[in-house]
Amino acid sequence: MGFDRSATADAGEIFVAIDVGGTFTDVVAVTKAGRAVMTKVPSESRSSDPADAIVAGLLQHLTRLKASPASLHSLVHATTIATNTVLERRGERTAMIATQGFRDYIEIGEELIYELYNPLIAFPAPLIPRGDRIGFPERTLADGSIDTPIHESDARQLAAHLKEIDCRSVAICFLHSHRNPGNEHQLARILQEVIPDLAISLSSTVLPESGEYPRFSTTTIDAYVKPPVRRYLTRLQGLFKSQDIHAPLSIMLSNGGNCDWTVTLDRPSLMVESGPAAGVMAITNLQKTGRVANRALAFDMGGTTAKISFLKDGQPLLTRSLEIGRESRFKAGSGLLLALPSVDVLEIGAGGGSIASVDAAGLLQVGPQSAGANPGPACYGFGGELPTVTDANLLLGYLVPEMFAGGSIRLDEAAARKSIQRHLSRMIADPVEAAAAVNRVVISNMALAARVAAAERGLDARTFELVAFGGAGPMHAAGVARLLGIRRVVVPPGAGVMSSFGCLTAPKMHELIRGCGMTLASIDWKRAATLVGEARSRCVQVLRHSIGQEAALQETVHAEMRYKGQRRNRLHIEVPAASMDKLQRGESIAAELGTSFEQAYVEQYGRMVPGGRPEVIIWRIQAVSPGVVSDFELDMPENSSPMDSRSAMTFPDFPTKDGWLMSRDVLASKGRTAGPGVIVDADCTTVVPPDFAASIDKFGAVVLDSQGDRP
Amino acid sequence: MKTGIDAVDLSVYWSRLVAITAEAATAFRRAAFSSIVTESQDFAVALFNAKGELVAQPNAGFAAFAGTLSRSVPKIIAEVDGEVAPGDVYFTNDAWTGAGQLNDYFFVTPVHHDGRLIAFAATVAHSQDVGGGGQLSTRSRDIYSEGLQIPVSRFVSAGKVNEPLLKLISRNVRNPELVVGDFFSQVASNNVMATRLTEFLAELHGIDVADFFDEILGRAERAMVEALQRLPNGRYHAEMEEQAPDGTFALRVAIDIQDRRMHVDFTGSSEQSPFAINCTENFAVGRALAPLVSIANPGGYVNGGTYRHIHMTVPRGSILNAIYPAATSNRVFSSGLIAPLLLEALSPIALERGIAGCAAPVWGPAIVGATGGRPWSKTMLLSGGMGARPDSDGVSCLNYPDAMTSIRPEATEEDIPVQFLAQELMDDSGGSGTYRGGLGQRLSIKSRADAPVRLSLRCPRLKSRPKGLKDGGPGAAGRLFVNGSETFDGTDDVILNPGDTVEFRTPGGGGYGAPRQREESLVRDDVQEGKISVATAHVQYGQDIEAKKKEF
Repeated sequence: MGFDRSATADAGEIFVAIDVGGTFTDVVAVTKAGRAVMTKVPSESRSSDPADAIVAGLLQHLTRLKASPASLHSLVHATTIATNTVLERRGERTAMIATQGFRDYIEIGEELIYELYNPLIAFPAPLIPRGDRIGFPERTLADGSIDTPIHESDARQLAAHLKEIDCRSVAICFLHSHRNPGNEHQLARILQEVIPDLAISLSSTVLPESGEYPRFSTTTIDAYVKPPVRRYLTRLQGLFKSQDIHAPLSIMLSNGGNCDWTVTLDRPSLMVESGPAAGVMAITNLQKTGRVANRALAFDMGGTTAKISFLKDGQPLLTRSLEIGRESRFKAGSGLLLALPSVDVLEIGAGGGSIASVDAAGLLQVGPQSAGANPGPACYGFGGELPTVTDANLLLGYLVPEMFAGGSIRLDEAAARKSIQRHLSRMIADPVEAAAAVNRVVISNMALAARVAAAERGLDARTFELVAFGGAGPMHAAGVARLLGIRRVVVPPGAGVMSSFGCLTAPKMHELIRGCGMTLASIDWKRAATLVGEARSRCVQVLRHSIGQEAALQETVHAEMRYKGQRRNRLHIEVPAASMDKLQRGESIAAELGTSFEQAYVEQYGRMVPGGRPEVIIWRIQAVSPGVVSDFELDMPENSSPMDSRSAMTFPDFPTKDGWLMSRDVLASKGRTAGPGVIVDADCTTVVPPDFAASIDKFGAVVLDSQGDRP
Repeated sequence: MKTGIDAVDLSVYWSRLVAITAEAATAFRRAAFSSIVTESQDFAVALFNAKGELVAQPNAGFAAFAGTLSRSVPKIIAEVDGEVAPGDVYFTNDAWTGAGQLNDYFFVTPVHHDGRLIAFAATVAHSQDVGGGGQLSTRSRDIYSEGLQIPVSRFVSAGKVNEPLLKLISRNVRNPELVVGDFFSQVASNNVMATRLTEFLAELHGIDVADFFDEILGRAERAMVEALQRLPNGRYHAEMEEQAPDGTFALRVAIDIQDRRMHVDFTGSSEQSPFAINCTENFAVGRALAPLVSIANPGGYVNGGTYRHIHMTVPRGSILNAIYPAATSNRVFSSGLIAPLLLEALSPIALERGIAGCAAPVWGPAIVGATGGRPWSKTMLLSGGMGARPDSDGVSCLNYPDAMTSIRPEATEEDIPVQFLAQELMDDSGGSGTYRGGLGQRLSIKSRADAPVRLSLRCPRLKSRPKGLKDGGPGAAGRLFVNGSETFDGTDDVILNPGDTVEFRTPGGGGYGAPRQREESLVRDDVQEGKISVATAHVQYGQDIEAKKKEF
């Protein structure tokens, strides 16, 4: 692909990604020719509406590209609006209507503790307080039969009450509704009739599977975020229209796909982990285009957290236990459960702002407490006094003080030194030695977390390639790789705006979940055929609406399976293409699914459960079409000046010596160069330890390969 | 540094050891069949040095088991017949060497490195079945009726599985595939620890592993000594009286804290019971460690060094140190009181970590029946409220300091012929206070079986109300209703005819601080949310609030 920077883009040629993250809002525009322009502005205070800033940024790009609004092909948006609504409890009055006598599961939760020995253990307050959780007389039994039907008079009385308290959204959560949603539907019909603008979320629609806590928790989150999400997206769309921007708007979802914005108006809980999912999807695209290996460990480290995800066979892993608003940020089980299929991203309390301290046993601890961006590391000079990972890296010679964060912050080495000396000298007298220790401990923490995460997922980290991104990822990647026994690290171009690229490359997708909850031996295959068939048509229809009648699409059906009696375990078994027709004809595919399930189980756990009865929990039906952009060579903004110099660098376990500092283009011209050294980019710094060598591959990525004999 | 191990190395290495145990716990949980392991975390893993001292454990799992492992592993090693050799795995479910009931199986694997015994990897987990018939009732009279007892034996000897013994066990338990499957999961979990440990040691050039273990034990010990120093010297007491099948029994404790040393003395507790509510010394001591650590708060990692300055006296022949062959299958009736008892004794001096009385132990009513000739049974765990804290209300329905997920309607109704009529927070069950005690729950069920079923109530706490702290009020006592009429013996077995109902109300936690100091808005919220009654708001909190009607 060639680039012609002077050319005016033709209509329908510019792809735009808008990623509103916790710290920064990125607007990236990519032309068909591969030219990218981007702005990175600090996200305003979380409560303010970022819509205006988004539109302003977009218009700026159009000016720079000498393009008109008509030249926009499409817009994809990753947003934290749903998450922030929950975190800040900014939702409108929302009620939960539950089977009478069963309204408290969202308050009782799992009843498990997420850490031992802590009498002050805290859990988040339920999203809907008990006063707005209303017990309603109805009952469906485990076999789906209706024991107590809805009485219209009760429903009308309830509607009157909801009106009186000015309730804007309801979550209807009835027992066994995944077996028979009849009562939920009937109540919804009556409520909607009486209050036409009431937002309604049904547990049988949001997550039609057995298990009242995950289903009700997810449904109440969906209901709670619905009015603010609707308002925000409608306003954003209005602003676009007023600027003559008519390109279709898609929203990035937690499951790694994106969909037309109108879909999320009814199912806002689908987009909770927009940004992190997008970051991972950028890596799957790099896998598809041969830029990174098919087994990749995505490693994204920022100011407060590091995020890791495993991508196996070019696909991200999915989790069903996303949590929002954790009381203890890095402890699973301390947040509100959102049990929808989501890209599996593990958060670790390690970032550039992680604070180093000496603990009760006289040992060095780094994180999870973080100085964040404010007050930030001591070397920022914003008033932070505690020593952080970034302070340590500065003393170790990895950072060029005047080039940090594109030159926006001038780092103060004296302040870093003073802070390390003051707080760590009782353990290690020499500040550079102490800095090396901080670096070593934070790297060790991340590697250990990745090791345990790999074990939990039945994976061997050594067989993965490490792909580093985020502000601090490439700085620590080689160290983490060394401890995990990974010999190759890739830092793709644009490592600072990965989520935006992920928005553009993620597939367009519509996904529906249909309940099953039966063992293979007892599934009613006729009923399954109807359910799945109806969902398939619906998925195709919705996807067609946004991609048009002609575009290619692919349909898949997954069975989420486990042995009957297991609760946490789930395996995602794809219905093989050959069995799809059979399934559609209402014939049993129990044998095929059973075999696939057992194979997957053995792969995961080493053996089968003797006498176990495999069960299909839900059917997951998808229609998928490729992302709007799949293969493009990025024309990144260049560094202001090529850099090639030397200075002293210290690495844990190696003597201090001179290392090189080079910009990416200089390294490209020199070819493979052994460490120690640092590659300085506009948006990130890549550290090359003495036992690694660096080179630039044909795609413009930095590749670090281990030269050491250590595994 | 006395051993010459650098402190930074130590920081990294210690975390590595803990991560090794976390990985082993993960491996076990993933591979285990028993739902009580995979769902309720009723297991523990840990790494021991060659002398049998606990050096590292993950910060997860069942707190009581974590403490018990530290007591049982040295005993198991001592009881091994012959030489401890590479390729061996030892196991036992002996209630006296182990965890006080036959369901709990211990597996211990020696780890050798460079031809030297350097460590032991150990796991304990609740097995689904141990044969016998008496486990689900408090009425068994001796250990023989509670299932098969396996004294410390070789499960694997020089790499070879002890097939004759395995065959014998398989013949004696229900669901042998699952039971034996879990055994192999425990062995696999130990292997993960052994493999990862030897990989790790291969990277540690020039460091003696025994010295390394001694160093981290010493550091955990020093952290605990400092923590104990922060507690005021003195003698602290608590007692509880509870229901036994033949009357009542009492637990008494006196805790002496003198000069960095803690002595916990259960003298004065009742004699052992003829029924199955006894505990063994090993489990009583192991059970006591977690609440003591949680109060002292040494920070960082907990290991055998943490326990070095805690001493205990559990009188022989008492209900907490019953003599063989006492029945122990429902030891939770006595052992389950230890944690709330110790928290009650020490909370007044624990400052910011002292909490009001907790409703533990968990209730475990068990239904046994048959449908169309197919026998079934179900244990229905039910938690009460946690005590209020110095900074917040107690958590509702949390069986602190352990935790177990309560029975839930959808999975249960899919499984057995029982219908849930209600399961919700129990209003007015939390003790009044500046911070309110956590609420217990009300579970009401109806039998839909076509024939009578047996229900062993197994509700261990109907008498002693969880105490309030610093002028806070007590939590409500637990209550039981069969077909609407109250019953007062939680150890009883009852027959449910088709259509009969049972209602369980678990206790609430105690309150913290004077109720009249509670913020007005919080009292109002509690009334509006139906967590306290209008009458309680008036009598306890001095506030007159009108309740809104919400239910239909």
